[in-house]
Amino acid sequence: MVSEYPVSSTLMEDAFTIVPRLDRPSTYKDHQYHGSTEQWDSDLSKTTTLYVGNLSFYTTEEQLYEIFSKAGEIKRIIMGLARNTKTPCGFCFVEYYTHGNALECMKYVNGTKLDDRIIRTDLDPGFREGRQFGRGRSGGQVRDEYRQEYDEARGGWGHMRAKQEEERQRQQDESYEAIATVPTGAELQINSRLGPSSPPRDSAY
Amino acid sequence: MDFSGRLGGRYGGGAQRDVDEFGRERRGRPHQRKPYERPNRGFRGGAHGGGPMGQPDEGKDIESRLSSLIVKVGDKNTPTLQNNLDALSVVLEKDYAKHEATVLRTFRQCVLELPWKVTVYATLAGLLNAKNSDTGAKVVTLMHGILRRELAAGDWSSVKVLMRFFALLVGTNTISAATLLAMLDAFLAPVASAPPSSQSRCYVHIAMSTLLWAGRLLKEAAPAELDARLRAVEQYMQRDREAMQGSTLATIFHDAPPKGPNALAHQLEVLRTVAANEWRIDAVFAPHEMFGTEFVQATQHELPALELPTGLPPSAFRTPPEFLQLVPSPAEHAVRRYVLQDLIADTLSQLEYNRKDCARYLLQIHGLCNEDVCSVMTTAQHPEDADPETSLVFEYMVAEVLFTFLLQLPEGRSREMYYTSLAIELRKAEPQIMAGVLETAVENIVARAASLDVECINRLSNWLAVYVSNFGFQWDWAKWESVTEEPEGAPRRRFVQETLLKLVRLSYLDRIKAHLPESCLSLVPAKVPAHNFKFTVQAMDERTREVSVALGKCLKSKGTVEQAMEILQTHYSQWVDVDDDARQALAREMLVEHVLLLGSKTFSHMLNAIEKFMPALQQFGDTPEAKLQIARVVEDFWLRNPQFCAITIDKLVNYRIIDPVTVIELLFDASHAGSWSSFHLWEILRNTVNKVDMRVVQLQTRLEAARAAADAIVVDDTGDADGDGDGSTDAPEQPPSRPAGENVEHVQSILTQMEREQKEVVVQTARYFVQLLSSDDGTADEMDRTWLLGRFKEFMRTYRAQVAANAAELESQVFTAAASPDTREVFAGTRALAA
Repeated sequence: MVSEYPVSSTLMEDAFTIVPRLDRPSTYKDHQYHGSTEQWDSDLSKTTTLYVGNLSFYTTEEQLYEIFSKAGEIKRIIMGLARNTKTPCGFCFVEYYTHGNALECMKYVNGTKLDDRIIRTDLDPGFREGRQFGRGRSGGQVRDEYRQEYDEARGGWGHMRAKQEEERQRQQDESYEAIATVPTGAELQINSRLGPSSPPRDSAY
Repeated sequence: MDFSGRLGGRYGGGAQRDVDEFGRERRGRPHQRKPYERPNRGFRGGAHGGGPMGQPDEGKDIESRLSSLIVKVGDKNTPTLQNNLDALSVVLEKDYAKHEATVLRTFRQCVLELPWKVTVYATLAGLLNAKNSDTGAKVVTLMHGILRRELAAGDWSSVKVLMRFFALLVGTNTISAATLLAMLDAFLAPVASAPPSSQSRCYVHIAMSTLLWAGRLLKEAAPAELDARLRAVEQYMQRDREAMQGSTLATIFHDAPPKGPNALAHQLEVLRTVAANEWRIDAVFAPHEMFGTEFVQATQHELPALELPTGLPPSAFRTPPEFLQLVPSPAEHAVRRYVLQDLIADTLSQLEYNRKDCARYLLQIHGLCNEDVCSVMTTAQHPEDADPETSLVFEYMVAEVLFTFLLQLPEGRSREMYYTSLAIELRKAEPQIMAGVLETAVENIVARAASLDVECINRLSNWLAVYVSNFGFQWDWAKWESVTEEPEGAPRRRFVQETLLKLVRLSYLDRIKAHLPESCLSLVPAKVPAHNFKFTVQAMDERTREVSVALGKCLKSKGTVEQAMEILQTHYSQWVDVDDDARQALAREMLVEHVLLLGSKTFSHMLNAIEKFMPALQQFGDTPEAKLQIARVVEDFWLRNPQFCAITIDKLVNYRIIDPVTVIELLFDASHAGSWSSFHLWEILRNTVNKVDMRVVQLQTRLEAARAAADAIVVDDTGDADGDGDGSTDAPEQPPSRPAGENVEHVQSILTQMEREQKEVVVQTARYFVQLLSSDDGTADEMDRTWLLGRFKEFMRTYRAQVAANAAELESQVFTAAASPDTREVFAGTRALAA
């Protein structure tokens, strides 16, 4: 009786789930990746490397090691550096020995906190020389170029905003430079009945 | 129809998706999207809906609505649930032909992913079958196909969940009692005469779980057959009890001995209680009982026999642990507690790939409970009134299941980190309630630390450090301040201290100190972890200082390996008063200290330093003694920074500068007696043995690939073969996939060599453990010995497969009459566990 209803193979094998899997690639893409979308997808399907973002500039390699080794043995960590200063600029690559560990990292470590910041991980086709440097105009990450919020752990203001703030500060400084003496304020007596100098309110009487 | 579940608002219909929090149209404003937004995130039940790009067409829209109805039905045990189910079955019946694939696919995943709603989905399948037996046949056939697929894959959690579904299908008259019994027999037949093993335990566990849910129906339809299955289970359990007699190797808490070495004894007890009570399970709503008249006319479907997988290793079979009791619980509700925790556990296992949604679902499982079965703090007006002593408290049951999985021995189903990040999500979902529940659970475990298995103390410590670091490092340490009066090796003190050390690793010392009450400051190091460079200016003689300064200058100014070696050569050749060996040892120490100093800034620096000086280091590490000296220098250099020590050792093994056995020798050095309670020594042991195992596995993969390539005689000259032949110096860096055409004999010979090394590591480690545990000066005091014995148990059960593979040698050489009785007991327990 049963054999009258063969199950279609797609229904037996498709990967559909109601609850989305956390170990699937997101919309993250390296804009300087040379290769087709198919190549990108195929690279990600066997990669052992993760791009890690939203780090504090102060987070050390050792801290990264501690949290990322929770998903498997780490082969190496490559810190993201600002192009000009060669100081950490808030991202890194973590490379595991196996693809399975990279997926486990996506499932269990992505979205947890390190140094009070939610770390974001994405499957990455793999580190290539040069990718350790920020690509923003100021040497850091592009996202810090345009950031409008103040973020103490990522160098304060975004680069553009920092320049604006700097400019404001400069104008501010310039404007006040000319004023050598502190103004004493108007000595005009508002209420002549109180006499030339009114005593402090909470004393004397 | 009322399908408003608790997630309804958040996940609800498609309309909300295109409007931001201010009600503005989101579409056409792509810059509003977060940079790395996940496609289809949070759209419950519909990967088929129209994405943010473009209008969903009508067919897709109906499909996504249909699947969302199936997903949401029965989220809550409301008075309208019966009507909802009926109405949904009418809708599905009507649209089935048009949207068959969507309906079947959604239904399939609902059974697998939402296991606590199994009664709802079995009823829905029954209603579909009653309305149209063709549809029913398709559903049943599909689910049976999935069951066979999961069996073949050895996914026992899914198998258990599916078998429960089939058990309930008997109650909807969709399959006959005889069909279910035949399915059960597939699991019980191989168990009938087989000796106790992890495979048998796994099958018996699934059979008992199925019987629990099928008992009531089988009692009516086939009482004699039911009794026979029950007897078969009991007979097996009798043999299993005898085989595991007295083994406490996998016991989590030693103060309250569990009813058996695994969950089965407790499961059997529950089964007996339920059997004595007319097989009535009243914890969750059973909607199929309300549709009795509709099911009478339904068609029953026959199913082909199940086939069990063959050739799986013992480690491929798992039996879940007995649920820990961490808060008091009313004894009269033991069955309800078991049934609910079993459903919680299945959900936790099945949704492992999305801890965030898993946490949300876990917290709504109570929605399907019958009235008054448990109290729910998250929905109660006065959650503080919930008293676990008088009623089952839902959130505590969730926490108990979570910690049961975390502490499961010999190992959990998933990585420890899953249970950590899941707990973080649970607390994020219900910040007030879950923070308190998890805190209570942890405190109750720690209060029993003295009788907690050593490995479990370590796991809980790892768990707590990451957990606390995710919530602003807030924790009530003052509650544990009394540990400062306990001796260094006291379990509770060790736990608190090691957790704080882990927190320092995840953050930095001052940050952690800021969160500690004055009374606990003595538990963290006074100074920031740093290196311990030997050749600082003060303490050495003149000529040593000269070498050190010259070498230091050379390395700092990026001198080459040759230059460094030459400096060593020139200086030490003048030391005519010391013999060759001593000179070599001095030069070795000098070089290693300086290379470590060069790389002491960060791990990257260290890797660079080691890579650069690899030829020199390999040349210096030419004998086992020399390798051991290098390892000792590393240990001494990183005395005050265990994390760096562990990682440096690890890298030296990777680069083959030292051997795994070197590390074993270093760890079991007599000088460590008195510090066996330190966690970091065992972290190094684990890393090392795991690495050896990983190398063997990689080589096995390579060998298979090479054999496959040799079989397929395809001449395909890709030209990019990297010509690296000598795998014996391979760090595991090498990817397992190799250019085609690798020499099979060559790989085979490396594999043989690696397997020899693996064996050596296991035998050597066991030998050291036994020596130390069997002599008086191997450990400093009773407490020290308890820790060492605990670590020995951990080692044996973790690597039980390798222990079993080398049992003969271990028995004749290590576990001799001279070995202390408790070590021999552990050995016997390990062999039973490995079967």
